[in-house]
Amino acid sequence: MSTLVAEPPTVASGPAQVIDARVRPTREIVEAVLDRLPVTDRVYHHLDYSKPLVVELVERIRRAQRPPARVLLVGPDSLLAETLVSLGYAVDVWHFRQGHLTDEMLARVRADVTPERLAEGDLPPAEEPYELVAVPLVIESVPGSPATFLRALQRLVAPGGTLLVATTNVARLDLRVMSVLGRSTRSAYPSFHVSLSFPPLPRLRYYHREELLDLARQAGWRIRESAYVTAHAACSTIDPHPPLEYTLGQVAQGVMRVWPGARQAVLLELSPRLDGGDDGVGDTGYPSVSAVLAVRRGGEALREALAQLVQQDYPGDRYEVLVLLDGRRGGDEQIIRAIADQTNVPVRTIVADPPEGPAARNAAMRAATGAICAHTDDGCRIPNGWVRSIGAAFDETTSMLTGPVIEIRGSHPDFMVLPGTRLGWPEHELYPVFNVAYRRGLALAAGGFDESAVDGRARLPFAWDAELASRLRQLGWNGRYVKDMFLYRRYPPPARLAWIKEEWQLAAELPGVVRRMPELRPQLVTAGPFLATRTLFFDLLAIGVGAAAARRRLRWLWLGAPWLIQYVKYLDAWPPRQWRISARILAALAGRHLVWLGGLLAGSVRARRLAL
Amino acid sequence: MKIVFPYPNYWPYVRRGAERMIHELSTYLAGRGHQVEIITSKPGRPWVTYDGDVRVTYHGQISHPVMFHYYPLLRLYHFGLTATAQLFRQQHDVLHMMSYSEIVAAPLLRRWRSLPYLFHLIVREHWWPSRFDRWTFHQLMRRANKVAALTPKWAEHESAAYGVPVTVLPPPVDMNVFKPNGARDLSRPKVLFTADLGDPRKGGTLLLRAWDEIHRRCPEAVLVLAGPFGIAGFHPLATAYSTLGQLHVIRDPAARAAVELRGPGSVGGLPRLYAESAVTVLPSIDEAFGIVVTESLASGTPVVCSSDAGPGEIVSSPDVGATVPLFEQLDLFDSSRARELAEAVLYAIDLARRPGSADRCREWASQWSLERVGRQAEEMYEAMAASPRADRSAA
Repeated sequence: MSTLVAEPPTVASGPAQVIDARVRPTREIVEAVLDRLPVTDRVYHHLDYSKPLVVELVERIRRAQRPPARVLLVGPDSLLAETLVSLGYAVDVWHFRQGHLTDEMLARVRADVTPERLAEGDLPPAEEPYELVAVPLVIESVPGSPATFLRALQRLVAPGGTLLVATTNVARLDLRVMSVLGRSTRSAYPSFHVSLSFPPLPRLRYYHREELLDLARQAGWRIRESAYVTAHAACSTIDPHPPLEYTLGQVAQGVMRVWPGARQAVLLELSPRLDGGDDGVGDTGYPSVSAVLAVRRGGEALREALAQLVQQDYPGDRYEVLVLLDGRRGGDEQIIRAIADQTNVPVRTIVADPPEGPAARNAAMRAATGAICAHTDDGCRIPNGWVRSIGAAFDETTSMLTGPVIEIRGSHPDFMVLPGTRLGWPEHELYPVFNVAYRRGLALAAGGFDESAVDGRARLPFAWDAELASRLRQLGWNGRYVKDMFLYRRYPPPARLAWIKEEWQLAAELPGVVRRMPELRPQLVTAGPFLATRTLFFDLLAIGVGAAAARRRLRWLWLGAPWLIQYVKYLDAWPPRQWRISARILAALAGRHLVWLGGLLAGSVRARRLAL
Repeated sequence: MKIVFPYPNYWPYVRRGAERMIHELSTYLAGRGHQVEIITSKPGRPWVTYDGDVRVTYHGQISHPVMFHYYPLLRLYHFGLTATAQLFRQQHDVLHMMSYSEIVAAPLLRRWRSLPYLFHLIVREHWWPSRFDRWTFHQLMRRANKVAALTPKWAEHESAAYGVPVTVLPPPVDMNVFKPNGARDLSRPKVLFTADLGDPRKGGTLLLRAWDEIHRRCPEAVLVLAGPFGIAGFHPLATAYSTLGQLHVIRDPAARAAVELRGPGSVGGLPRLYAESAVTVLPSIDEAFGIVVTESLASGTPVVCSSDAGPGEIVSSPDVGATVPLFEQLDLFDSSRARELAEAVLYAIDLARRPGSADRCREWASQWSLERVGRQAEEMYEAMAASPRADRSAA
């Protein structure tokens, strides 16, 4: 027999009361609201069926905005709306004709909408922007691309507000299974279905999470969270199912619990992207560009780099060059003056000490007039077309560009530097300051390069220049890797024994960088916790040597074979006069690996992030 | 007197005729100073509450997809057991039981607890899947203090069928709740359908078939679908295949645009809907009474319904509405019936526009007023409570 809960005298169909939700879990709150909703039992069970999505949405709404924030719900079910009202939110509703709402929620309907109207971006006006807008299970019913709709929602969300979008996951478990079995997925796209919960709109198209993220970014949104969520129960308890069908449904729910990518819905938490103002940068025309050249070597290197910059094939009235120099070498100023006199491109100098670093780069960006700031230094050889490639590669969602860096012949060999830190043709996310371009207004609005990163340090820390790109990405802007934006760079060999300190510092800083900037992990940590197979093999060698010494068995040294094999290509076995050189190279490599291992271990302890 | 109404469904979870009748009678009796309790069930957690002065005990329901696949009546049996246990624990003077209340131990309650019971037949065709179900139903009929039906003709029929005297106790209509409110806009007449949208026997689909014609001849008319969506667990596919899933039978886009799907809304909003409408339509079959019809008439709104069964017995005058011959399932798919229904609805809209029509409807409905029916029920309870073990009589 069931246990009866005695309640004070109330009328069952009374209005929703505000719930003290400070300590109650969201699921409990939603269930309590559902339990008291004055709806018919079929509606109750439909709402119960889709309760998991409501719990997910309410959880995020509670996290994003506190009551009594103004919330707009586009096509909600009664449970979502009633729960938010009971929590004290000021709820407005846009209603679809096919949807079902309680009378209390119908009174909160501010506009009737259709998917067609949303697709055109023809949104009903709002008196003032909302702190939160939630759009559950609507995107998949919008004809054509939902980009226009998502863009139009921008004007409804207040600065600092939140947009929650939930939509069916095209990679959900049943669709995957149907595809694998070669069955038609047509039944998953009903043009008519009965729902007394979320509006039964015709399902036109489902989206993959990455596709949705791209759409959101294109529409000017910053991604705060994207998650796979369970949208509904295996089946409604009132719908008859034979045992096998029921069991399969429950098993599928269990699989989705442990395999998020197969869940029924994708939920995005978005906020308006940082606005850099109208800077005229777009798909067409020639945006104004300021090239910033930091003088690190001076002399001939400066002459060569500056000459290459002023000879770029870019309209002179849309282009300027700013040279960052420390002002200690008089010869550099003469070189700059001489080149500036021979060109119609404006060339300005900015004195900064040191001429390279976040403070100097920020000063240059503040002094620049171009909408785009392209950064390089005199260690690079800049091909003609570099600035044109930059001007053409920006679109409305891109805030920064980088491109390939090609070593100039005679550079210090790349296998002698810490893996992952030398750039080349492959795509990368490091946005090195000697080959990068930013939308100037956005970069400055985001705070520019982080000057606190070098406070009190004698040298620039590793990836100090990548942090700005990472920050802009978190603020909702895209970066692009543009193959045409290549340049050449000379990497001079380090002074004798100076490499030890340099490589140690680099290795010790890397774990911290990996921890702070997760997007760099794929580039810097490629094999589990290991930087590369090279370091993995060296660690094996170290284990082999240690074990051989401890066990006094030489066969443990075979663990070092992979490390040796991978470097064989750099060693000459014939003629014998090369043996000495090969041995020196091998010793140099072993020495570097030892330094890297030491630095990485020290850095891992400091950053609490293992990188080997 | 302590009067108890056990019934598996009640407001707000189910809003059909039986629940309305229980609400009206219990409220009337409570107003007369009796202690009234409704024992029912709900989805979710069980709880006890008060509907005005009436105590309502909601027991939990059992719901499971596999159960509904094989034996949906288990939910009724579960309710019957929990309600019976409560009835054995408590002391009442009269038990008002209805078809499908599932208190199969009512004869034992009568004998051991001196609890007389009225067995109220609220459906025309009782469906029982097993021999045991049928046997218990017969026992309940034979051993009841009183057996009642909703209309005179059906009382006569059941009396002949079961060989027991059957009296008439129609569902009451509260004339103070259902009344004209002056908000009717006859330049834009509303055609109201408040029956269950999930129950194919209510004839919603036939009304949709007729709607193209109605809208063609009266383009300003609006069809308001304001019924519930079926009882959970029963008729599982009915929702998709009845009214809600058949909107496509309206072919004219303009006619389809003139359909408002409101759903059941709130309990308190129904009287206003009736009062604002030009005509209420109930093209159902197998209807034991058709409480929609009396509620509409009390609100001053003419009706269109079947000429058969309960509604046919109520609407016997062209001054209060029109009837269409609907006798069996196939009639609900018949195009000629759809045309007749369209004619009837247009007639009723015209009727609503005639002066004095609302008063005539209301006067007609007063035959089933709560005061009249409530007093009759109260007298029956008093007679039963006075001699709980006495043999029944039809009077």
